[in-house]
Amino acid sequence: MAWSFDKHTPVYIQIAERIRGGIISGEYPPESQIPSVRQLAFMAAVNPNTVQRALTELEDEGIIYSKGTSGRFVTDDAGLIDAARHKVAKSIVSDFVEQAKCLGITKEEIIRMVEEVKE
Amino acid sequence: MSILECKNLRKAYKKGRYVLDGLNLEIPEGKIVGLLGPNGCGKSTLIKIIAGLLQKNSGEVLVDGKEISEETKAIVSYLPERTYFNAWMRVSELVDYFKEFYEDFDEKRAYALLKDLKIDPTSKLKALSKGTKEKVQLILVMSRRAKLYLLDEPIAGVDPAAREYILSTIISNYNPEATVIITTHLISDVEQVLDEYVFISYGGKILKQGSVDESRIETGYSLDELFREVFRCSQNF
Amino acid sequence: MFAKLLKHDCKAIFKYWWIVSVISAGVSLVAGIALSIMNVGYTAHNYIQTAAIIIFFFCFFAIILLPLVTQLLTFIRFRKNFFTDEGYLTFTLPVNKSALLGSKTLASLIFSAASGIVFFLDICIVSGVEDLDNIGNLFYEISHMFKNIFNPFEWNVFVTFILTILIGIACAVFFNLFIFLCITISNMLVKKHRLLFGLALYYGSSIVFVLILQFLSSNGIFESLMLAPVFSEWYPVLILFGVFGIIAAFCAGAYLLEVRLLDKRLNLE
Repeated sequence: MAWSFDKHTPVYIQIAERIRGGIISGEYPPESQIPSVRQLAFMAAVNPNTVQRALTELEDEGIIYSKGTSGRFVTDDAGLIDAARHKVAKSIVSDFVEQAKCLGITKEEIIRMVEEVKE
Repeated sequence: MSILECKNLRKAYKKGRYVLDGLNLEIPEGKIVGLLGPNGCGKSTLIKIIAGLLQKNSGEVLVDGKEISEETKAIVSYLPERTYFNAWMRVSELVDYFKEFYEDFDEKRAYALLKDLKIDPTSKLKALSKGTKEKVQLILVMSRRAKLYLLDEPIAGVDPAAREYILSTIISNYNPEATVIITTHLISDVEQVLDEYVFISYGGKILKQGSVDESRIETGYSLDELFREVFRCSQNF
Repeated sequence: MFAKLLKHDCKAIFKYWWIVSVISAGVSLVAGIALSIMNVGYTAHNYIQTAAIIIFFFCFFAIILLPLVTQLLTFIRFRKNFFTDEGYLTFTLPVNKSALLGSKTLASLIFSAASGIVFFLDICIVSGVEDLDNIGNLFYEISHMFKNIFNPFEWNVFVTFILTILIGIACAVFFNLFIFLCITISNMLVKKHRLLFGLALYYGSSIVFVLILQFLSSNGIFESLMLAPVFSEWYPVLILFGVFGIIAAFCAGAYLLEVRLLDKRLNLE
C-alpha cells in the first residue's frame, strides 16, 4: 500500500518528515543506509523527483549524507538526531497544547491527563 | 531545454469550431507533468497532434526542437485511451513488434513487468480481459526508454487497485531524464505523482501552469481544489 | 524499416491467405473429380452426370475467385491497419508514410503473384485428377508455346514479351494503389458509410476512365497509332513502351498522392 499524503502540503515536505521520523524513532539507525530514491518512490507511490527533493532537504539539514554512488546514509552525529527529535517533539506538543487550549482545557488538566495516558 | 514547445497552435474539427485556439505551451525536460482539464477541452487533441495522429491547422509544435516526424516518433512513447493492437496477436508477438520498430525498447523490462502481473506471454491478446489488455499496453509503452511519454487518460475507467498499479508502473519505469505528460480529469488521483501541472480549459486555453509543490505552499490548496477554483473563475466571464 | 513492415504485412495477409489457398486446392480436387465423372459419361445415371456438371461449375467459379479473395484480403488489411484503432499504432511508428505504403503495395504484389501460382496449380489438379498425363500435356503445350515465341530468337519479340509482363505488373500495382486511394479518401472525407463512398468513388472513377478511353477511341487516336505507316518491326515495342510509361506515370501519381494525403491530411479520431 502506498503511503497516504495530506493534499495541502507539498509531498516532498511530507516525505522528508516521514524519513526524519524514521531516523528519530530508530527505524533507520545511525550509519544505516536509507532506501534509494527509486525504492522510496515506489513505496510512497510518488515520482522520484519529489523523493529527490525531500532527500536533498534532509541532506541540507545534515541528518543524512550521500556517499557518492553507494547511496545515502543516516548521520552518526547523535547530537544532531537528538536535536531533530527535540524539534519534532516540541512541534507536536505545541500543536497539541494549542488544540487543547482552543477547547478550553487548562494546562493542569493536560498534565494530569498525560500522566493517566502513560503507557 | 523544453522537450515540448507549442506556439499559437490551432486545430479545428469543423469549420470555425476550434478545439485548440492559439495554444501556447512549454514543457520542460525531466518532469512528470499533469495536463489537467475537463472532458472535451482539447487535451486529447493536443496529445494526438504531438503523437502525429492529427494534423494541426496552423501554429508550431516542436518536440525536442523538431517538427513532428518519424524522428520525433522515435523518441515519443504514446499511450492512447483505447487499445490499438491487433487482437489476434499473442503478447509475445506484440513485444517483438515493439522491439523491432523501436530502438529504445527494453525487452527484459517488459517481460519482467508481464511476469509480475502473471500474464502469460503466449496468450492471445483477444483472450485477455479489458483491464489486462490496458495493462499490457501500458507495460509496452513504459518499457520504452523514450524522451517524452504521452499518457492519455491512463486511469480513467479503471478500478482503484488497478489505478495504483498503473501509477506505480509509470513512476518506476519511466526513463528518469524523460518527461511524462499525463492527461486526466481525475486530478486528485494523480496529484501526488506530479511535479508540474497545466490547467487547460476549452479551446485549449491555459488557465494556470506551475509546480505542484509551490502551489501547495503558496495556496495551501490541493491541486484538485486549486483547479476547481481556477476553473470556476475562468467560467465567470 | 521497410523490410520489417513488409514482413509484418506479409505475415498478416498470409494468415488468412493460406487457408484460402488450401480451400481452393480442395475445391480443385472436387472439380477434377466432377470433370472425370463428366467425361466418363454414365448414361445410365443421368443425375450423377448433372450433379457433376453443376458441381464442376461451382468449383470453377470458386477457383476463379481465389485471386479476387486475395486482393480483398489486401484491401481489408490496408484499411484495418491504417483506419481503425490499429492506426494508432501504425502511425506512431517511427517510419515514413512512403515506407508504409510501399510495403503494403509490395505485399499485395507478392500475394497476387502467389495466387497466380496457386491458380496454375489448381488448373493442374483439375486436369490431373482425371488423368495424370494431362499435367504433362499442359506443361508440354506451354513449353511448346514458348519455343515458338522465342525460336528463332528475335530481340523485338523478346522485348515485347518482357514489356507485356511489365505492363501487367504495372496494371496490378496501379489497381492496388487506386483502391488504396479510394479507401483513404473515403476514410478522410466522410464519417459514415465509408464503404459505400469508397465503392462509389471506385466505380465512378472507373466509369469516367472508360468513357475517356471510348472518347479517345472514337476520335481515332488508337486507330491512327495502330495503323501508322511506320514499317519498323520495333514499332509495336515502341507502342508498348509508351503504354507502360503511361501506366507507370499513373502509378507514380497515385503513389505520390497517397503519401501526400497520409502526410498532410491524416486525422485519426
